[in-house]
Order: sequence, then C-alpha cells, then structure tokens
Amino acid sequence: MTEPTNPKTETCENCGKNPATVKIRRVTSGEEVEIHLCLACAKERGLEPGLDETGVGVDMVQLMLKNLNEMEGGSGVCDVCGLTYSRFRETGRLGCAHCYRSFAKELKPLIRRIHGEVRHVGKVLDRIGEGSDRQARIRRLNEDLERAIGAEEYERAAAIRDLIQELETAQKELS
Amino acid sequence: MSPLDGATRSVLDRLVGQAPDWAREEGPRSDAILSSRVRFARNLASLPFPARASKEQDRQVITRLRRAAQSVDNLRAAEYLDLEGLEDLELDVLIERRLASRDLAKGSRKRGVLVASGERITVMVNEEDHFRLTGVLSGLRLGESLDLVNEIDRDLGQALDFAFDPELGFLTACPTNVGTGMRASVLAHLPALVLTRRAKKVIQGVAALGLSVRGYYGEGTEIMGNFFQISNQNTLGKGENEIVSRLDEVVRQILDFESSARDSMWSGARVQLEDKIYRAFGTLRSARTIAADEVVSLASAVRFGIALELPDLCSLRVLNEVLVISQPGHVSRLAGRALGEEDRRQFRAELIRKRLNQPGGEPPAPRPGIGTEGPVTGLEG
Repeated sequence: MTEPTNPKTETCENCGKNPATVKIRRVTSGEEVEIHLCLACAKERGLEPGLDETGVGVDMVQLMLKNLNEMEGGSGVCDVCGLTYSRFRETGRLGCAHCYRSFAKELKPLIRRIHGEVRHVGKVLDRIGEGSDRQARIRRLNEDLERAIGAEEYERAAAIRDLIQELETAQKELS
Repeated sequence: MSPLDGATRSVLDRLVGQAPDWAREEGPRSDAILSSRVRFARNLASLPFPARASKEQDRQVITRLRRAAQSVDNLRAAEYLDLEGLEDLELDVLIERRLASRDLAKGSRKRGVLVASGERITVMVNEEDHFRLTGVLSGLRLGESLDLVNEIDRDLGQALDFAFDPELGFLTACPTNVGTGMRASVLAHLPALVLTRRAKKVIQGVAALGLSVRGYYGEGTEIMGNFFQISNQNTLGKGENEIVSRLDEVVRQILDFESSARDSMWSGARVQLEDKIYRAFGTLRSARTIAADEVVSLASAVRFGIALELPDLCSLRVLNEVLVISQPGHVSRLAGRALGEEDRRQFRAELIRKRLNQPGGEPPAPRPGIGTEGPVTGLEG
C-alpha cells in the first residue's frame, strides 16, 4: 500500500535527498517491511496510487535487494539467457525461466522474504495427464478445421492446421 | 500506417463510444464494488522474458499466442490490438479502459492485447511477462472471474509451453509474481469510510492481513473519488482458490464497515448528505466546462446517492459510462482530434450532459423488496 507519511521526519530511502512523502508498507507472514520514498522516486518507480497494478512488485524487489546483505556476493550468469546476477539486482527482473535455476541459491532467500514461503501450492501445469486431453483436443480441432474450411475462413483454417501439427508433434515426443 | 494499425484503430473507434461490459452491467454489490479482476502472469519456457527478448522473439510470442487463441473457445472471436505505432492519445484510451497497463502502453517493443467477450477477457502480450491473462466482471464476483481466467489458462496451456517449475510454480519475470502468477483485485467505492475518517484504519487492518490497498484515481499520493483497489500481494504458498476466497472474505468485511458508516452518516447528517449529492448531480448535468478530476469526485458523490437509493439520480450503469468516457484519452478520441485543455473541458461537459439526458439516463426501476427512499438498512442486498 502507499500512503502519505510525515515529510518532516524522513528522507527518501532511494535518493537520500528529498523528504520522504510516500510510505510503502508490506506485510509478509507477520514481518513488516516499511520503505519511505520521495514522490519523485515513488513515481519513477510507478509506485504512486494509480491505474498500474504491476508497479509495486518490481520496486519492492529492487528495494529488498538493496537491503539484503547476504546477497552481495552473487556474481553468476544465467547460461541460457546470459543475464548476470548484478543486472538482476539493478532491474529486479529475471531474463528467462531458466534464471530461476541459474540463481536458485540467491533467489531462495529473496523469494522467502517476498512471499514468506518457498513452495508453490496452487495450480499445477499437468504435463502428465495431458496426453489423453491432447488427443481429444486434436479431434476437436480437426472438426474446427473442417468448419473453418466450409466457411471459407482460410486464415483461421491455416492457424488451426499449424496448431494440430504442433500438438501431434508433442504427442509423438511424449509417446 | 500498416494494415494492422488500421484494424486496431477501427476497433478502438468502435470501443470508445461506450463503456466496457464490466462497467455497464450491474453485478452483485455493484453499489460499492465496480469490478472484480483476476489476472495470471504466464511465460513461454522456450523464449527469454520480454525484457531480454529480440524483436524476432517478440514477434514469435505474439504469433504463437494468436495461433493458440484460435483453439480457445473464449478467445476465438477475440480482437488483437497491435500497440506498435499507436499515438499517445490512442494508448491512453487503452489505459483508461484498463485494456493495457501503463507499462504495456508506454513500452517500445512489439506488443499488443487480445480482447474478447465485451472486454471481460484480455490477454496482454509482451508486457513484463509474455502473457497477462485477465478476466474482469462487474460487481463482487471474484470466483467467477477466476473461473473465466482458469478456463483460458487451461486451454492456452495445452497449446503453449508455459514456464512451470514443480517447486516454484509458474515462473515470472519478477519474483513477486512467481507461483500462481495471480493477482486478484476489486475496485471498491468507499465514500462513507472516507468521510467518517475510518478509511485509514480499515486500510491498515487490510494491509496487516497481507493484502494491498491503493487509491485508484488521482495524482501523487492523493486518493480521489474514494475509489480503492484492494488486491492480494503474495502469489506463492497459497492456492488460487484460497487467495481469492480470502480476498472475498475481507472485501465483504470492508463492505460491512462501509454499510454501517453509511447508516451512521444517513442518520446523523441526512440533509447535508443529500445536499452534497444533488449538487454534484446538478453540476454534472449542467456544467459547460469540466475537468476530469472534478468528474471523478462528483461521480463519487452521485454514486453514493445511487447506493443510498435516493430518487431522481441516474443509473449506476450510466454513471459508470460517464466515468469512462470523460477521461482525457476518451474525450479526445471522441472529439476525433487532439484538443487543447479548455476545448477538452468543454467537449467533456457536453459529452456528459448528452449522456445524462439520453434515454437510459433515467433512474433504474426500484429493485424488488427495497424501497426507493429511506435509510440505508437495505444495503446488504
């Protein structure tokens, strides 16, 4: 959340110059982290109250990274996308899915700090149970394909045909 | 202008004249909750996240999504808006309708948004993550919004290789989204809590529960129009259903607080309250020049009046439409050209007057079982 804070008592934790007029509070598993920023730094980081729903996350990561001393040493490079850990520390964004493996050791404390947890318990991408679904899906797509051709929607038909091919390839690879 | 831009512009022109479905319907508890929104962040395992992708890879992400969308029931008829090459004012329209986030709109890579089902479903492509799947419905309907996104997620997940790790869940560009990749939020209108100075306490309480509350309109730290966005913060360690039902529970509690604040205002200062509401309505209906900020705060007062079921106001639907079309990008687009500050205010006032005096601008028929006058005991509907 963002809310006004008392300008007399704080200076901005990012630039260290202007009075902090925006306070960001985040509570994770009972642990409260509070960060004070000036309006300019908050805005620059997309933290002002507004339409953007995505701003908060990145900034919290960057600020937490700044505060996490145990992560100073991270100097690795992701062998898939080439992102360096120091670059991640600057931007707060990872380069590819593989970065989670490349930087697993460094990311674990950060993720725990952010979420209070390190294990996903939600939806699972069900790759094992996919097979039978996939066959039903290919059948359904073939029907769609016929309909599209019947309706002379050739662009759509081509897209569906590509998709069927892709699914069939995946099917073969699995079996 | 590429042909795609032309297609995108004609879709924009069609959208801009009316509010999105989530603003035109009146879902459950829409007296206080404008909309319920659920979004999933998803990425392809085989390509770098947008920030590190090449132009060619950006293009591949778009192509793969559009092709996969052909096989998804809810996306087959979707329209793809290509954001590359749109003017700032046109991008503003997308931001104002929440079809695109500010980051997506102001970005510079190849990017776009798939829009389906009267703007209830959107898929942003190449924002921070490859895909942001969103479902939004009018009123307090978080569970249904989740169902909506679950469905397209399941179907797209069959055709696309989503990045998923058994330990960490869905992998996202920013570790704050890892796990479910889900952000569930409601847009709430809480005038009585603000006016009775209880909002701050409630916001603090909500923050202590691990949820986030932000002002929705307004520059800087100001919270304008008493609109708040309440959402989950964490995406890891709890399942989607649990996060959504927890949020739903807290929102219902906040609505109880709002209702009792409305009751006490009504019994304590009825005449002052009615005066403020009807003056606001009068201004909206009669002004000859008006700023966007002023519309938001006047609409907030009128919205309060509609929730109190005061007679002779417009319907919620019309008021929501006024809120949408009076934003700067919409006003300029509806005028068909970029307007200077003063011209825009005048044209905005004209648009609002027209909308409020149009058929359909009249107050809704009384809801069964609830009187059109009297105290607010009937708010829990």
